[in-house]
This record gives sequence, structure tokens and C-alpha cells, in this order.
Amino acid sequence: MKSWTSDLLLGVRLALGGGRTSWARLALTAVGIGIGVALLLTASSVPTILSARDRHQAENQPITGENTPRALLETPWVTEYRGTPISGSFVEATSPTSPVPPGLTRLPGDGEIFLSPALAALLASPEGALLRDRFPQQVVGKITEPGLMAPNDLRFVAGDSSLDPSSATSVTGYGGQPDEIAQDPVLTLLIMVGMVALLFPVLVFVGVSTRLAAAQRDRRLSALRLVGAGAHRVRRIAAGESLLGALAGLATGTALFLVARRFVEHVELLGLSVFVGDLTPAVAPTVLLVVLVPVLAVATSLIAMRRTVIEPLGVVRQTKPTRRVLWWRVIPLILGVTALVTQDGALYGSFGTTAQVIVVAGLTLTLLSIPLLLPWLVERAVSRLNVGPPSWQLAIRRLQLESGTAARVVAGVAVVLAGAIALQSIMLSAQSRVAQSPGTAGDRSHLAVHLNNGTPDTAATLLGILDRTVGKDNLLTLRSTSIVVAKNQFHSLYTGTCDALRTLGELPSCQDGDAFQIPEQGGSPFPAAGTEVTVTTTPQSLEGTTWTIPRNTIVRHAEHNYSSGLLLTPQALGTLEIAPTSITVVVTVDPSNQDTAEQVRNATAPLTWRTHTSYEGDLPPTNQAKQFASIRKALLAGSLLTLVLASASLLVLALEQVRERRRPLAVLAATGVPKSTLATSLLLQNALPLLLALATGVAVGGETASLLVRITAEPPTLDWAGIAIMTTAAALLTLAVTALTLPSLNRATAATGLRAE
Amino acid sequence: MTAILEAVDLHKSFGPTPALDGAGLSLHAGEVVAVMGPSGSGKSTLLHCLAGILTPDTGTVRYRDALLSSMSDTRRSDLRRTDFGFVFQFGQLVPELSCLENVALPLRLGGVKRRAAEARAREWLERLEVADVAAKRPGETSGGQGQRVAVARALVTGPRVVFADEPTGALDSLNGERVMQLLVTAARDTNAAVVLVTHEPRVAAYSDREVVVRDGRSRETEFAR
Repeated sequence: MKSWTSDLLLGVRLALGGGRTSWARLALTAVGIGIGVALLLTASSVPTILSARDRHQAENQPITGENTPRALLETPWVTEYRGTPISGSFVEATSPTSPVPPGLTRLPGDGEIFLSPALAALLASPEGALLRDRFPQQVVGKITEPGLMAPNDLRFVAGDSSLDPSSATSVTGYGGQPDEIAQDPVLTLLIMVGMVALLFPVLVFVGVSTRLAAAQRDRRLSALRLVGAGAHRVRRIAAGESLLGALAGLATGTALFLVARRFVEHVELLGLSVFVGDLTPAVAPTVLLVVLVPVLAVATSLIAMRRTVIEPLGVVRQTKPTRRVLWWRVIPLILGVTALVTQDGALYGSFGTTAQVIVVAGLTLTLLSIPLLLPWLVERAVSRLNVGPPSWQLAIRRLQLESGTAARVVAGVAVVLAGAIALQSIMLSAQSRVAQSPGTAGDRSHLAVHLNNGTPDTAATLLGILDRTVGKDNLLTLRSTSIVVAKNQFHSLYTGTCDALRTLGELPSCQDGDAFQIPEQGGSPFPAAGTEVTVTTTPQSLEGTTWTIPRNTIVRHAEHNYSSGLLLTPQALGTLEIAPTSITVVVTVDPSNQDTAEQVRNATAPLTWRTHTSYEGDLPPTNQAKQFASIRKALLAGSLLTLVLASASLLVLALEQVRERRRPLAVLAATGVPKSTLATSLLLQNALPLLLALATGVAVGGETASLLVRITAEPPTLDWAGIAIMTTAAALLTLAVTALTLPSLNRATAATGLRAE
Repeated sequence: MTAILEAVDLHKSFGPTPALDGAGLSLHAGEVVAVMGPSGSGKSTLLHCLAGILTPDTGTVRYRDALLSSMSDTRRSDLRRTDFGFVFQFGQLVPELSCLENVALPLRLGGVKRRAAEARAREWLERLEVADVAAKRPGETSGGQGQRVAVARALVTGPRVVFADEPTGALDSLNGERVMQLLVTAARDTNAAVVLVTHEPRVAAYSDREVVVRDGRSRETEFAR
């Protein structure tokens, strides 16, 4: 144990003792590992973020009760500003002890409002100028974290003493249970694939970073062997060096994470934002990370040294290394593919924990095969290449002598690519299966203003406001109610002029007296023409009057129908009377000028909760589609972060490549080799392995994608356009990073460079 | 007198290229033997086989009656630390450690405490007239100073055999002379034998006898200095 400690410490001493060179190497290793650690710490915070969201949701869930003396009346209201929803509620206390919503210091009185920080900031900014008219109330405070789901929530709670007790919710407290939404197995698979595809490359980059400056280290360890350090001992010393790099990486990563965390509330990635307090790594994954990174660093270093067998002669002779063997490198691929094949169609069976573990293991092994196969592949490929121009010759000969470093540099990119292809294919599969009702955007030229539980007075006020705002010519009025088919089964009934009805669907020919039926796709069957039905007097009621569906009703199946239900011109109503309070006013707006819609919303704002607006035909997404959209956003955000990591790691590795080779580069420059030749040679040294890496990434990613899609029992289809875009992006990324190393190359080949060497 | 190190009929090839083709050498305690020959003759390979760094394809190397080729890697490493010392043309010092730490390294690997190891290392640096570079790293010293540090490191453990492969190859004649004087004097003081690979007659002149290697075969020339 004592000798272990002293050997590890000697390794640490060697890693630290070389002055600027050693410090530069250690710094690069620490940054390379640190970026990965910061990303893994962020990923470790995901469980905390999710549970915090659940907690926030639960804490904000109102507990309702009827005839409660101290209840708080609450009417929710959602408005929209330039495409972004703003939600909140109007409240009215029925007693001094009425419950206060979370995040508020007190209940707002009539005409007072509490705003979320994001909404307050929007209203105070020039971008929010047009929104200010919609919230004329006196701002009396901010909604704090307990009342919000995320820092970027646009939310308000306003006091209103005119709430309608019959339609408002009576809230007796907050802290109910949030709605449980069952998760589709394909979404579970998507999350699993996403986690592996995004996090595994991070581990690859961490592993690769521990191999920085491997050649120099090998020479150093050879010198130790010469003075009598045994092979085991040298391994322990090397482990000490790697351990220091890993620990420095952990410290750097933690520091990066903590610094970035302070600003997290100001960052919005694809609409997602989190509170500082919620971005806290969960204990178990953090402990795993703290253990895994040093273990990975030491293991990578020891495994790599098995091949480099540090011999005493390393100090005087740098012999050509032995050729890599293939057989053990294909084992993870075979195991991975076998694991995924065994799960063919499993999504339609019992996709339990065992199946999930097998899929994760299969995917991990398949991706692991890339960094294992690539060095062998690059070595074999370059050994067959022949000489050409000087830059090509320099690059080829360098790769023939030692292709490991270049292969390692691009292996991470190949893993990112393969993971992205697998993720994209599963996302497509999930989209076709889960997100069939992702919600549709309606007609942007018709903004519908609905009156909720209106009175004849409010209906008249609404029409007056809109008349003054946009003019009579731009208004069409629809009245609506419901047809009761069975208990909890309704169909909509609309009445209005032909022009008004045309905002609901395509009606090529229409005249007063006509009736149209637009069936709901996948909905319950519509009663046939001539059938006697019950029409409710108000939309929420089950009571109503008996009425017969006109015999001349025309069924329309046009593709671009925005609404479904029965569309009646005034004469087709016959004796049926629809309350004038159930009105929707359709305002014709200029779709190219979003602000017209905002002006309409502002104009109707004095009616507050009594109206809400939507574009005709807007369909809200289903819960599963919402889940899919959130997961997709999170995965895309994760992909962006992984891409940032890939770029940063690539840059670190490429810079280290130049640093390690600066002596021969300086000598070449001094002997008259043009810098352009050296730069081209450097580019080729990355470009050739890159081509092989991209081919490997596409092959492994494509095969993995096919196998993953088969798990969902769907025919394997690949998004070739997407693959082409990702491959090109990966290639451009690597070439751009190589270009960024040119200043470093210039320094190495400067006249002073040779003198320093 | 019994040889402490003896090589008989050594054959060693690197791929299709033969480096040694029946070479041999015997070394007695305290003597200095120069191995001479043109470039590529196999003299360095012979030295590496004698030191147990390389294993010959056929033939035997015995050190104090023990067969080097039958020893484990660990045992050969121990031997390099306790009984052998090395001076090469360049590169054998660990660039990350100071000169003092470099000299103390073999002692510390052998379990000697840092303070004691560095005290002995300092004595050797003084003896080789490079005490002033003790705190410097090898990269910060001149070629001659670096080689004297390497000699100090080779001798600090009190080895029985010192292997020196072109020890003055990278030095000017004045520095080369001084390094050779110090190496041979220190070796004689400690009764260490020296195997000196060189192609310079001026360096070989410090030896008790010469062995010439040509085309992988050795021919011993004994003469009295």
C-alpha cells in the first residue's frame, strides 16, 4: 500500500514537475475532462430539475371545494403575445383568510396585479411596449419561485372583484396532486436512447482527454524503466499522472458548472429554463461521476499502456509500434447488435426494466465499438496509401507511424454522429406514433374572440370594442352551442352567415338556408341528417331543446377544415334559438402584421377573463404530443450542449497535437518547408481519419438506428437527409476546429520556435 | 578471475535484419571495456542484451552466474536499479524532475527515504562538479552538465556494472574528456565495471581493453594500458 501511494505520488510529481510544458499539458487535460464533467453534472441535475418541476406543479395545484366560506375565487386566463403564451388567473377573496396562491406575499386587491419576473421584465422592455395596455392593473409585487414552473414563465395573478361565482373555481388551498400522464413506451425508449447517445460521447471525450501527450509520457516512463522501475510500478506511476489529470478535470468541471450555474436563470435554451436551486446534481449520479472519472482516466491509461508496453529503450529508440489487432475490437459491436436484435418488437410486449437495461447496454456497447474500431481502421487504411505531394507525404507518413492520436481525436465526433443518427431515427418513430395530434396552427388571417359566459351587456360591449378597433367590415359573428349525443359526448354547432362559416371550413358554395356537417377526424360518429337531437341552451349544460338536424345537411370532408361540427346558416336554424351570449367574433387580421392581433387582444383586455382569443382552427396538442415536444426540446438542447463539448474537446485535442509535434514542425519550417504545406499536412492528418470516422459513425449509427426502430415494431426507415446534414456538420466542425489550430502552428513554426526547441 | 557478466554466442534480429550474429563478451569486476565498431555494427544491441534491456534470440547472458534471459521482468528491473547503471548519449534523464531528483530517483525507487536519497545524490553531484545545477531541470543545463548528472545517477546506487552508450557523443571534446575522466575515476573508486560503447578511439583510450564488433560478431583485443 505504501509503495502504491509513493508510486502514485511520483506520478503526480512527474505530471507537475515539468515546468510550463507540464502545466500546459495538465491544463489542457483538465479543460478537456472538465468540459465533460460540467456537462455530466448538468445531466446529473436532470432528476432534480424534473422532481422540482413536479413539486412546483403539485404546490401550485389548486384544491377545490364547493360552498366553502373562506374560498378564493379563481378564474384562469391565457393570453398570447407575439406567439408566446402568458398565463395567469384573476382572483377574488371571499374572506380575509382566503388562501394565497404560492409565490405571492398576499392576495392582490381589485385592480392590483402580481407579475412573474420574466413578465415584469417583458413589460418594462421596449419589446413589451404593445403588451402594457393588456395589464393596466397596479403592479404590487412579483411572483416568486414557488409560484412558477421556470424562471422564464410569463405569469400573473390579478385581483378582480367582479368574478362570476358560478363559473369561477372555489379554491380552498394549494398543494393538490398534479395530473399523472401515462408515458408511452416509445417515449421511454426515446429518453433512454437520448441519454445514452448524449452522455456516452462525453465519456469518450473524457477518456480521450486522459491520453493527451501520450508519446511524451511514454518517453518519460521509459526513462523510469531504465533506472529500474518495474512494469507494474511504471503502470502505477502512469496511473498517478492520469489520476492527477482526472482530479484536476473534476475540479475544473465542478468550477465550470458552479460558475455557469449562477447564470442559468438568464439562459433560455429552446424555451427551456431552470431555477438556480433546481440545477443541483442528484447525489447518486454525482457520487458515480466523482468515482467514474478517475477510474475511467486510470483505466484508459492502463489499457492504453498495455499496447505501448513501456520499455527502457523508449528513451533512445522510438520504434514503430506493433500493429493493432481486430478480434477483440469487434466483440462489443457483436454483443451490442445481439442485445438490440433480441429486443425486436419488444415495445409491443412487456417493455419492462430488463428490456430497458438490455437496450441501454446494447446501445452503449454499439457506440463503444466506434472508438475501439477506429484506430484499427485508420491504421489499416493509411498503411495502404501511397506518397503524393509533400503535404500529403508528410501527413501519410506521420499517420503510418502513429495514427492513434488522430484516430482518437475524431472518434468522439464519430460517436456523436452515430448517437445523433440513432436518436433522430427514434425521434421520427416517436413522432409518427405518439405525436399524431401535435396540435395544428390555424388560419392566421382570422382571429376569433370568444365570449365566456357572457351577458347581453358584455356581448354588446365586445362588439362595440371590436367595431371601434378594426371596423365593422372586418368582423364576422358566430354563435355556438352543443349537440348532446350521449353523456359526455358533444358535437359543436355553429351558426352565422356564409362568410362567417367559411372561417370554420372550406365551403365552396353556400347560401342562406344551407347546413354543413364537418366530421371530426377519429371522433365519435355524427348523427345523420333528419335525426332528432338535443341542443344545449348554453354550451356547458346538458339540458336543452329537441331539434332535428336539417335533411339538406351537406357532409364536407375538405382537408383544410379548421373546425368540426354542424355549421348552419341563419335560415337553417329553423325554430332553434341560440343564446346571443354564446358568441365568437371572428376578426379579419393581416397575417403579415402580428401586431394587429395584439391590438385586438389589447382592445378586449378590459373584459379580462370574459374573453379569450385564438386563431380559427388552432388545435391544442394532446398530452402525449406535449410530452413528446418537451422531450424533443430537452434532447435537442442536450444535443447542442454535446456539440459544444465535442467542439471544445476537439480543439483541446488538436492544439495538443500541434504542441506535441512542435519540435519536428519547427525543424521542418527551419529547413524551408512552406507553412502552407505544414498546414495542409496538419489538415490532412485530421481529414483522412475524419473521413473514416464519418463512414464508421454513419455505418454504426445507421445500423443501430435500424435495430432501435425495429424495437418499436416499425419498418426500419432512415432519415437520409438528416444523416447527410449531420455528417456534413460533423465534417465542417472538425475542419473548422483544425483551422483554429493554425495560429498555434504559426507559433510553433516561427523563427523563434526552433530556437526554443 | 571469474567474470561478473558474460555473454556467449548472442544472436538477435530485428525483423529480417540481423543485429548480432554470434557476439560475445566477458566483463570482470572493476574493469573498463570499450565496445567499438562502425555504425550499425551491433555494438548498442550487444550493450542492450548485456544489460537485460533486450533479450537475445539465442545465446546466453550470465550476470554473477544467473541467466538474465530466465529472469522475470521485475527481477531485471530490480537489477537495473541495484546492480547496473546507465549513461546514454541523451534522453535518459526525466525532464520533469530536477537534476537532484533525477539522481535520487533510483534510490527512492529502491525504498530509500527522500531526505537520505537526496543527500547521497547531492554528494554525487558535488563529486561530478555539478552541484550548482541540482535545482535545475535537465532542459535548463548544458550538454556536459546533463551528462555529468546522468553519470551521477548511474553511480549513485553503487552499481557493479555501468553501461555507457556513446556517453560523449553529444559533447564537445573538452566536455567529453571531462565526463570520461569523471566517469572512469568514479567507477574505479567504487570498483564498478564499465561497458563503454563508442566509435571514438579517444574515448576508448579510457578503457582497459577493447572489443570490436563488426557485422554482429565480436572480436576481443586485449592490451595493457
